[in-house]
Amino acid sequence: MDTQRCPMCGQANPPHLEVCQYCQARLKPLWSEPPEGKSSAIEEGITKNKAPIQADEPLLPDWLLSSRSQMTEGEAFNPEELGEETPILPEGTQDREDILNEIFSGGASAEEDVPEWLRSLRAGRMSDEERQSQSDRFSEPEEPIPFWLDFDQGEAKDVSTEVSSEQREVPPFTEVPFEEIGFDQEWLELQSGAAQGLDLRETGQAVPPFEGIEPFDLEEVSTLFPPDKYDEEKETEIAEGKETLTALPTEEGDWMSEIPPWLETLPGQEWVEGETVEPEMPPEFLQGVVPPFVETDETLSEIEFPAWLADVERTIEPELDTVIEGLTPPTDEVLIEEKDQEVSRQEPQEILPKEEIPIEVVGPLHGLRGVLPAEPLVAEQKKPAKALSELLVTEKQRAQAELFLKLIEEEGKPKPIPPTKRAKPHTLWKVLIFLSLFAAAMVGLILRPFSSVPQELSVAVLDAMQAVNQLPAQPTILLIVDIEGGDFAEMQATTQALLDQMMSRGAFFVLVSANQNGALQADRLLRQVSQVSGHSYQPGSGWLNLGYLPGGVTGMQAFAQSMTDILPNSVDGEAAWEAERLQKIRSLADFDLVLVITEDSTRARQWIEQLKGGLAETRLMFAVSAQVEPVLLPYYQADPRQVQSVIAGIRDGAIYETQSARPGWAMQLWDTYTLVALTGVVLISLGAFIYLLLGLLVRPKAKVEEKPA
Amino acid sequence: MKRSFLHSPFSTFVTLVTGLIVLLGYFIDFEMLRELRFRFLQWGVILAAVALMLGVFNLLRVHWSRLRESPAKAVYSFMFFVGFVLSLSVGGLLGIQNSLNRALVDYVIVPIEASLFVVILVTLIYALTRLLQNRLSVFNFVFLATIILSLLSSIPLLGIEIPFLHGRDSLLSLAFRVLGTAGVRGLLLGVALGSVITGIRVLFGLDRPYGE
Repeated sequence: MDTQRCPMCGQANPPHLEVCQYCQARLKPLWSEPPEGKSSAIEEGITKNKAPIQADEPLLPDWLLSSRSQMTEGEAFNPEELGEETPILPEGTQDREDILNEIFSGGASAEEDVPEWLRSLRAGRMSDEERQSQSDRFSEPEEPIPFWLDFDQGEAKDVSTEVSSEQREVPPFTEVPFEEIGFDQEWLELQSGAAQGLDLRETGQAVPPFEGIEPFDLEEVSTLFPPDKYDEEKETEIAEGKETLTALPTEEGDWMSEIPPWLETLPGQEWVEGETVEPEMPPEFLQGVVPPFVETDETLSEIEFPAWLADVERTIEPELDTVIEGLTPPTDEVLIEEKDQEVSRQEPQEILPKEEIPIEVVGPLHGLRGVLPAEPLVAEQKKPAKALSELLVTEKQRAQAELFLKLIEEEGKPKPIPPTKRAKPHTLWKVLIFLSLFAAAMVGLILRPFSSVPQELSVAVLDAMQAVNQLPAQPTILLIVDIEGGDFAEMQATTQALLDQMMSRGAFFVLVSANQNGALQADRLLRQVSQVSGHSYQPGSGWLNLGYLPGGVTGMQAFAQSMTDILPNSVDGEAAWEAERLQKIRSLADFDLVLVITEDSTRARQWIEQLKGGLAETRLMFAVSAQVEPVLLPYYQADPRQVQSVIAGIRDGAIYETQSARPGWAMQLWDTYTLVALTGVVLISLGAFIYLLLGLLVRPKAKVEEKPA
Repeated sequence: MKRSFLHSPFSTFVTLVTGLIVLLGYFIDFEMLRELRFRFLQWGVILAAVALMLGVFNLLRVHWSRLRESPAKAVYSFMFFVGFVLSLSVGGLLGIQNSLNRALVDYVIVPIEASLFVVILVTLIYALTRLLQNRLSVFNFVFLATIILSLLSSIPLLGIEIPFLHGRDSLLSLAFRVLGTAGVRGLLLGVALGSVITGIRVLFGLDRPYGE
């Protein structure tokens, strides 16, 4: 089935379509050649065997070649146009120019590049007979001529067709292309005279040396005029009676060996043929040792080396042999590479003959030969080069790659966490500790008293007693209670005697707390103390609870600055500062005493820092847990004191009870406290010793077990 | 990304002005300045109270979500809601002086906190006994010896007081007091300097603890 293939996508299309049905590319050119040019209608994939019209323009499109042929054949040269111009050069000069053109342009080569005036010159210098003989000689191919030689035939035809007798009068070429080059005028004249047999000096007219000669390529000349043909042409001309210059060599190649006079005058050419070659003298320090060097025709192998050089050669030769033998033989890779290079050198590169170079038949490049890659080459389906099925790696590299892959695979796998050796909880020991402490507490509560209350007089306790004793009757005391339920027992034992003494003096307490449970704990503390001490203190008449003071340090500062504004009401919702006992209280300085009860060291420090500005230090007391005492001692021991007194822990409470003769919770708890504390010391000491021994015994075994692992 | 309002320059400006006014109120006895300072402190107290209420609401929300999502922990959350409603009703409606509220403190809050305190005591003794087993070092020896000597110095040995060991004026008590006081003084100085530096950084806007 007759189909046409799309030049763009390569798909087959029906012959009647003008546009590809797959890619919409145009299948037929918009402009086609005239019907007589059948040869230009080249089907796809078929090379054109038409002989080129112009051999030296193999890549010109056919339309251009055909148009040129029409110009040369149909449009005859109009001599009248040229005849209007008067020739400047005489005839002799024109003949001489023809000879120069023949010499430098190699005849009629590159005919299409020659301008019209030069073409007319060439035509004028050739007679009809010569043209006929020349055309006959060149138009008879004895054997198939390659395309690169096909230009001869075409050239002869062109020359025969374009040259006519009317074209002898041509406009002279007045330009001097190589005017600035200093050619030897005499030599040029001799050359031209040798060709034409004319003495240019007789004309007395200076002619530019390369006038009318176009630049040419030496390779082109050598291909257009092979030595054999050129010699034949010369012999033919000699046989026809043309004058030859006697100075020209008759032997083959003599004209090449002859050096022109202008070349002889060039610097550096000092050697003259026929001169005797003088021996080259060695430098002064080698004269007498080395003979003068004389260039001879002897080859190196024929020269007899001197004795000393032969000795050196004999000594070096064995070592050189050993070195050569020690050289490592070439590896396989090197041998393969060298072999490939050799093969590539031996393989001749495929050069398509000109006839096989396809001509583009579609698109804007229609008619150009070999401009784009040929369609068959593009559409040719080639199998990709066979890839190597195995990597060219060594065993070591392969092992490393496998190891690396193994590491990557193991990296993503979760690793089991090794069980850590965690100390087993000794529940029995914990239970034993609890039972021991509980038993000590029970024994202390049941079998008391079995220990004496501390009798020493503490300075802090004395200061506290002195401050309470100095209180006026019916004092108003600000009681700040910041305690938790777990510390309530300790704080109750610590402050009971102090609060009892204050109650005895008819004190009115204003309760405030910066702790959420503080208000409840303060209410409970006063109630407990009043109950134990035998007082009839009741809320409202004995104390006023202002409740919780929010804001931490900010609340403390605001309370110290203006407590009536910060906490205007009690927890019962009543106007706190409108009570009868608080009529005169408007600031901290109006209180007779400020007592802070807390078990928190940070809270104790904050209260000291915030209350110090609004209160005299002589009216600030602290009743704290034993653990807070070290924090308050710097304030207490300062000079001047920032705190009136500090009562810390059950011990100070018991001392206060003893000194004030008010037995209370501290003295009741003292036996229990001492017994439990002593039990704790025993448990700690005994347990630490036992576990230390166990640790010392187990540690070497663990080390022994860890070493093999 | 939307810029937080608390990180805006306006909030920094407010912090700077407020802090400077409160700070200058300490050193300059000026009525208006003092009044402004107190107002700012009062606002701070009110905001702290509101924050406490927000904390209570957040606690309720967390336990409400636990009650709905986790059946295993629903019991504890349910007990929390029972206790919260009971405390709020007793303390808020009946008042702090009510006998029921006192009983709630005497028989629930204080015993529970005291029992937790005992648990801490037992745990500390247990940890001290195993201290040298887990890590045998000089510092652990010193730590353990300090605890034992402190306890012995605070109590008489069944009514027997040793002059070297017992008594407030004893050598051991004096050593502990001097060493303890020296250490605490250093801590207090460090806390004071740190507070000053932190205040300055906040005043200059270098630290912005608000909104974080």
